[in-house]
Amino acid sequence: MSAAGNRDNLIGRAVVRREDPALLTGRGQYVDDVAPPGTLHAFVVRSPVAHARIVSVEAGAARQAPGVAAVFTAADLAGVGPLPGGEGLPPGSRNPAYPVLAAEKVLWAGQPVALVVAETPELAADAAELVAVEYDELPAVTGPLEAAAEGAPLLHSGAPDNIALRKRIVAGDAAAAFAAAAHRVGQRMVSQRLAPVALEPRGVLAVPGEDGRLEVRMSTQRPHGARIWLARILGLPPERMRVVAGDMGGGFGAKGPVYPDQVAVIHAARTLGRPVKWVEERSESFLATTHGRDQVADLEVAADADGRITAMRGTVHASFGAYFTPNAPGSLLGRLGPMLPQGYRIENFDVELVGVFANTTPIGPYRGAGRPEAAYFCERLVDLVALQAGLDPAEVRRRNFVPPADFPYTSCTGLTYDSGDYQAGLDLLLEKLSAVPAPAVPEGHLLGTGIASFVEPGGITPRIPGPDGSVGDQATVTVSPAGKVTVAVGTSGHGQGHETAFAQLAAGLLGVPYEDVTVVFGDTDAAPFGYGTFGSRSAVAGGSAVYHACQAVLEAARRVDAPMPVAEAAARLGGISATASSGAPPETYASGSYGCVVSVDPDTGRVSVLRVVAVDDCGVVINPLLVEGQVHGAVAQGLGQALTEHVQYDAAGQPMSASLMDYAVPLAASLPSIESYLVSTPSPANPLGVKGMGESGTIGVTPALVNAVMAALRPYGIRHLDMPLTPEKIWAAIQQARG
Amino acid sequence: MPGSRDVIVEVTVNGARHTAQVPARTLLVHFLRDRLRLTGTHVGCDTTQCGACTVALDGVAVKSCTVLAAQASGHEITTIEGLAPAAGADPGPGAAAGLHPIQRAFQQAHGLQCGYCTPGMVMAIRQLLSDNPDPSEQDVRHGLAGNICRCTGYQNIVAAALAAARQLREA
Repeated sequence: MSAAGNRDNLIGRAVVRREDPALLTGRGQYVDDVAPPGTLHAFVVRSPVAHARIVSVEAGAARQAPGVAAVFTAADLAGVGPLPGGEGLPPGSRNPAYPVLAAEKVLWAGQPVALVVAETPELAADAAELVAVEYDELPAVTGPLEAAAEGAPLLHSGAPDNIALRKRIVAGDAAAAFAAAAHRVGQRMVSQRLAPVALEPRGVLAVPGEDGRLEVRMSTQRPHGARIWLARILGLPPERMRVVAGDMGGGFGAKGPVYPDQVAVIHAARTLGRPVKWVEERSESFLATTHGRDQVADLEVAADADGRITAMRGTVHASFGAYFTPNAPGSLLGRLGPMLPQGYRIENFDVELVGVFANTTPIGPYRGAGRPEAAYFCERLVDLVALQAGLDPAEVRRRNFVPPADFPYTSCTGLTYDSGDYQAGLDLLLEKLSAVPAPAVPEGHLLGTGIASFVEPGGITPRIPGPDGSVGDQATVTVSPAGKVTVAVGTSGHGQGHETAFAQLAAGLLGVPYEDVTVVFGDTDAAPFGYGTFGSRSAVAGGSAVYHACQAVLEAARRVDAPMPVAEAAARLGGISATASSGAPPETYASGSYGCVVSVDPDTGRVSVLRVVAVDDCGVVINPLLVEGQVHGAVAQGLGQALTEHVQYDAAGQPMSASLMDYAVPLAASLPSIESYLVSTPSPANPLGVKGMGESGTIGVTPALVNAVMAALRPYGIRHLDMPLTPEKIWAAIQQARG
Repeated sequence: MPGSRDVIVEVTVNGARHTAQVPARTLLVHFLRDRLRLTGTHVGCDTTQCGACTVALDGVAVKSCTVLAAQASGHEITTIEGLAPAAGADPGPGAAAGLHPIQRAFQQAHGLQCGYCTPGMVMAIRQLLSDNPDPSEQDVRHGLAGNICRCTGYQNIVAAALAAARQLREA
């Protein structure tokens, strides 16, 4: 097989996944599946209240309980911590120390206070009931607006308010544009708090080695990042630690940070000299694992008489929960705020971003991480412009899109979009929507169609140097003398199909059989440095690193005296190996247009999703099967936000949705079959032409669905409802409209 | 301490007989995972919603997080590890050997991503197709009400179930 032909045959082909046989037959190795002899088990004692001063922690009885090896409280953790706070904060921000175990105050229901370690999980749970913590309860505040308000209960000592950060993004002259506008539309919109709910709960297994080295198996999206963070928190040199992710049962952003409970478990293993394991329970996960979203936007746009949007202004309040996690500020500052203009030429902009602390589970990135919120806010406003101007929503989008000739395009918020043809995506969507006649619905039910267009930044490379001082994800490509290829890469997949995709890529680039390529990641001993997998970055960053390493291997093969296939050159040379870095490739900007057709039963308020049509442009596609799988899954999560999912607290800060009985993730019967299509504008920003697309479904479908429901409710004059669009909410709005 | 009483469990799992003494409160899923080291059966929740722990008890799908090991005593259990026929059968193009038709359909249809819900999904679909060998798409979607997947949007799981149904009918 020739190299060129092989590349054409493999890259872009719907290869079924090599990961699957092991996972399908129960031979996966998730963290809870690993149990070295002598493993102890941990149970985390968590605050049952949202805000309180800790009067005392009494662990004596628990320490005496059957099977208990140790109980750790804050007093036993001197020198450990704090957790890393927020990264990339603007000047004047607060970044309070996030303790491993709470010492003086607890700031959310679920904050870790003590860790019990025993011979079995059951004995640890039994003993945890004997840990007596006395709390002096304080008033709590949970919502972003309430936490920002004057007189709100204060979380962090020494602060006059709960404001964590402020950043104002200004371009052009918004005030003048609004003064001159033919149309001004504004709306308060809420992107409600969500739980990521990866089906595998978070866990960690820490195994002290006889050589003094610590092996940490944990469900993490960022093995190298976790090692660096953990080393700093524990006061260890990073090389004394190995982090292994193993198989992972999803992450969706929530398995990016390191968590206080994990740190306490690792500390316990070091202290006791025995393996210690902890896996969270699902109900615990709803309290302990980062949530996503939780913003309130008060935004308005100005448009001329033709519906051309001239300006956007307003304020977005974003909750961060009780403490910052490292990437949470970036979701607001680098994603939500700067992406508000989406794919439209908006030249005047004045938006203030206000981050607050509240007595809730800390916020982290959740699939989309600022992108879905920005698209939701913008795309609702675009529909409201269409409504006010009496224009077709698709026509308003057409009039405002950045045209293909303008790329690379720098947005008024300072982002440089690499390439795109937004109208091509929208045209295909409109064609597919109109190709099927409106479905028949029961008499009296209201039909609605909604669309949304979006831009998805992907492939971010943190500007944090790795151990060798350079920025970038690395890949090592090794060809053995027998012609077998190993690709080790610093990104770290957790369900996306990276083994298959990177094997296709390397086999295609090197001109070797796909079966001869083995892919390694997720182990800091076996894979070179990289930032892991988040923010739709792995095809861009990991793919670029694999590309450069393959080019170096080909270059070495070319130095053999006659042209020959890589495998033959490797046989001659006794093997070839090359490591290369992605460097910091510019971010890519995937795009798309999504459409939803819904019916609403006005007597019950129930929404039926009849059609979801997704058109994505993610440039060059390595494996369309995997791309379509990402679209399906992200659409399901986006529909979950639009229709049913909502993390709720009562006035005292008690969680009201902390189990899968109360938190409604989509089920098979609540979803339609998604119609997924691709258009392609290759990225000029990386050698593969790929664009990150792992989050597109959450970005596109949420506004499309809400726009569809609002279109259905137009006969009642209902202008806007906040998500989730539950039957109760819609029914109440219809009742109110009927008078 | 509560739960300190032990019971004897005698159970046949994937054709092999096992006898063990376990605390009376031991759930079947923990017995399978921790005692027998059959870790393909997963725990995804604590309220019997997610179905990741689905196994067959005397041929009937149950959520093993909601069955005590003691209740399974004297019965036959099939887990995901015991579903496939012995290796050696022709797996079909691109698929690995040793896969049950449902497992093979999952690979061909890209019916799994992280794989965590997958063993439970496969065991639930085995039951579904046993009850209804020729289901419609809606039958499959409703039949999976007790299984949660957070990765796939269910679409390719449904496709896999329908493909497996076709293949099993023709077999």
